[in-house]
Amino acid sequence: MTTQHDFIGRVAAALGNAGATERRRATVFSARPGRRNGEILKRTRTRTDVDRMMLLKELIVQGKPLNLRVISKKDPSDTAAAIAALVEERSPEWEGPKSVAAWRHPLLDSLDLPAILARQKVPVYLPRQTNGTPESMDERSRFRSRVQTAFIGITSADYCLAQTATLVMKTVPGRDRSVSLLPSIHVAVIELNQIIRNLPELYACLKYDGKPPDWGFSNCLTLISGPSKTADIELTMVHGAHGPRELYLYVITPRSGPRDRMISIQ
Amino acid sequence: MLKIFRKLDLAVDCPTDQTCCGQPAFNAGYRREARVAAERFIRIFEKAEVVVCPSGSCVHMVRRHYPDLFRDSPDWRRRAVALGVKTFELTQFLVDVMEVEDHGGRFDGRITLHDSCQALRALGISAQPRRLIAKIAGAEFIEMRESERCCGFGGSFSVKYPEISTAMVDDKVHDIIATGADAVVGVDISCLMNIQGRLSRMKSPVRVLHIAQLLAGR
Amino acid sequence: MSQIRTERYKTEARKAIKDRVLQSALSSVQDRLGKGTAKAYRELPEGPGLRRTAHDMRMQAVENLDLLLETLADNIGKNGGRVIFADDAQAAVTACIDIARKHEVRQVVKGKSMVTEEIGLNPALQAAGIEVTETDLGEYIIQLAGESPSHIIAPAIHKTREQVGRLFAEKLGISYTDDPPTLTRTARKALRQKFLTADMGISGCNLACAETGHITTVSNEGNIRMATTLPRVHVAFMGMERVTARLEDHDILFRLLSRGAAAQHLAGYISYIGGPRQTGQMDGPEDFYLIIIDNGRSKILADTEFREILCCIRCAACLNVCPVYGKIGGHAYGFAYSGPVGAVVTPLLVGIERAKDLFLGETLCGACKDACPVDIDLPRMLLALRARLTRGGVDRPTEGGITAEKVFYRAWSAAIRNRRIYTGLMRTARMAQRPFTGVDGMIHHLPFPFDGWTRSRDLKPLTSKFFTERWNKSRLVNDDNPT
Repeated sequence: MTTQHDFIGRVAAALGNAGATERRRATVFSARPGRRNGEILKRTRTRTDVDRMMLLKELIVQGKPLNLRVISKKDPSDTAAAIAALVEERSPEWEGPKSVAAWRHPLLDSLDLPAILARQKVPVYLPRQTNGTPESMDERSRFRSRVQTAFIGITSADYCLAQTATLVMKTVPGRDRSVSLLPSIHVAVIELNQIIRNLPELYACLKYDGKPPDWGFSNCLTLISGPSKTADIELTMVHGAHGPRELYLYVITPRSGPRDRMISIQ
Repeated sequence: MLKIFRKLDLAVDCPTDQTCCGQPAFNAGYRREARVAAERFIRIFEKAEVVVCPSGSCVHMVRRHYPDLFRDSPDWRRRAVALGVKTFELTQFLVDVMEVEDHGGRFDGRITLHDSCQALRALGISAQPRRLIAKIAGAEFIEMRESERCCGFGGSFSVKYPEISTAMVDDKVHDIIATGADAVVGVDISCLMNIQGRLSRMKSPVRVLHIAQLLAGR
Repeated sequence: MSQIRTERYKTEARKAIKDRVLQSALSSVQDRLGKGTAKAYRELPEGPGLRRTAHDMRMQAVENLDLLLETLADNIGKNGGRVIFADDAQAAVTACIDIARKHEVRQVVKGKSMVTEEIGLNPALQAAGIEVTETDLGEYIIQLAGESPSHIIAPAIHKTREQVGRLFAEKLGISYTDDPPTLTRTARKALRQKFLTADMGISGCNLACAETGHITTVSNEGNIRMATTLPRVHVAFMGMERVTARLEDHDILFRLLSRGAAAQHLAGYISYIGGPRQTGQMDGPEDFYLIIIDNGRSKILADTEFREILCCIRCAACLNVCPVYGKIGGHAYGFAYSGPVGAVVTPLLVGIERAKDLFLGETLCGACKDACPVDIDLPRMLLALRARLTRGGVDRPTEGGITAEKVFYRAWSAAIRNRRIYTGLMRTARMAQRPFTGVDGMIHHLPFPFDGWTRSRDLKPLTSKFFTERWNKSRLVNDDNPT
């Protein structure tokens, strides 16, 4: 093991870089949104519902070869009914009774899943509310075992990229990563206005829409483009390697007719 | 080549004291020795209006590697670059410079084409030989599978790593035979020598022709 | 350092060529992934010229690596992660074992990482009494088989489904099947348990982001997400050149990486990880370490002729199009990195003399350069390695055949200088070939060192009249091109 100073000193020596650090730093890192980022941000901020419907169409097309099922629903209650139907018709991959794990999230709260699924006697496990006290080992252990036995994990997302059919999720309290990872089926629920076009838009939003001084994405950010897959045996594509085998994305799309409303992304 | 040039009414000179562009030495890593050949080449050819060569790899050497070879000698480098600009591979010269595709060649049978690596990737030569073949009277052209895949010659590679080289030329020969062609044509004699060597050992009747031979009606 | 077997290039190549199963697998990979790459580049919205942009972006990062590493380390620290700098393989391995001991680690789950192959991590951990399970399906298969990977992205490509079926039946106790979905499900079930009980997860790093202080991990299977979320410790390994300055650089690089590697638009899972779990998060590791490795890279960096190889993002696009790799497979290259990139980087890491077959045993066809998503000029560097070798004095004085070769080329250059000598030599050759020329007009046997040719091929002899002789005889002779 060596010190950071010695290691980086050796790298600098190899490059023959004598100083000019501040000038190089200014060139290499961008200090403020350049013109391109500015254009990108403007586009995301002035996007209309009509534009977003086009993006939704693209999302559906891009999702198909990835086995991402995109379903448009007109409101939370329709979405909840669809999820209930899914819970009913699907069986757990591993042994045990059916249970579901979900994020704590305003959009999911509006679905009222615990009540809906109670009709089928399927429990919905939510992480506990954040109340200032740190979570204990026991609590985390219980959480893990709940998520591990759940056969469906339900989350929302922060953004959805149409061009690559990608869900983007920041890890923050109440929105844990294993919910979209351990259960065999992953269900995600988002609203139409969360769909953006592509990675450049994502990165621009993350960098410049986050409230300073924090970056917009915490210690962990996950990008998911379709359910888990592998082609390691004779290049034969198999869906469901280690992560979820199926992925359903419900997009709540108000059917009130296309209106030219300016909607900004929070 | 002479026959073709005469038909086009071109004044041709073939410097008889030319030796070699230096590629074999360069590819083997002997740059000092390659430079000796390169300097001679430049001296002999730089006064010409245009230099035409029936070998994509030689032209590649002159255009792409000479400037690198002379990077420490600005004067030689300048001369190398100036020469490179007017040095052409044969099909490039006929199709892109002279803009003549029909040279009166004739071949009764099927022809397939092997795309030599240096000509294809470094010089972008792909359409030119095809256009010339299209004008050969009596010939039916068939594309082989993966015509651009390396034939396995690679200079001294072919004798130093013979099993790998042979495995590669076997694939090439397999693709050639699969087209049902009577002849395989190419722009680089080294590739053709390799392919012909294997076809001959396999006692295959498929003929191997350099594009110049095809155009001149051999 | 992992075991270096570069001296076995010719032997392994010969074995690979005779292995019909391997040959079929290699053809399959190159057909499916190699051809798709060119098409995927053409379909990029910005067009194939994007590769040049990516190249410049990578070169800028490499040429400012000192700044990037400093910024990355500082920002990872701010995210709660710990950065360790390792000069060489031994230091990196030792650091990992120390971490494992500190956290009382007994079981490790591992995502695929070429740099951990390079430093020989697995055997060292196992020797320290720690169980290591590879979780990428291809790596899991070869770990069960006790083999090393033959391809950077698809490590078990050389195995048929029947071979995998027999392997699983033997090692996992299931009844034999060769159905890939069933086999995959078996691995899924077995590895799920490992993920849930492991103490430590190990990953590589595809591209770190200096300005935000994150590493990224990329997979399609989800195994890396599992390995970096569930165990209580996460250790990530990073070759020091795998970092970008800005977040937006990742857009171009991830899209090109995904296309180069598997003709995809974007890989299934990309995770940005900057530190351990934070308060309020119910899962995630308690501790996160990033081990940044030199192991010879600063030497490469200092050499302006070879610095460009550090732009590589390890996508294996070059493997998928290389006609030599397509015949000899990954094992012949004798080290973690195979294919064209291996032919350049391995000699630079382990020694030019020692690994010389890797860059001599290529035809310089250039397909790799066309396939590289960041437009790295691999053929240029292969030629440069050859030039270094002949200069001698690099690591050891050159020996045997090479010295004779040097003499040969010296003599050749003397002959080149003088047309009379050159012609004399050609005439001598023309005479000397006569006894070797058969009735069919072809040469069937040649003495050493040219017998390499004639073992499998005939040779068309030098023509009876050289063109220049004909030209001299008469300017007006209506004759054709020389042979």
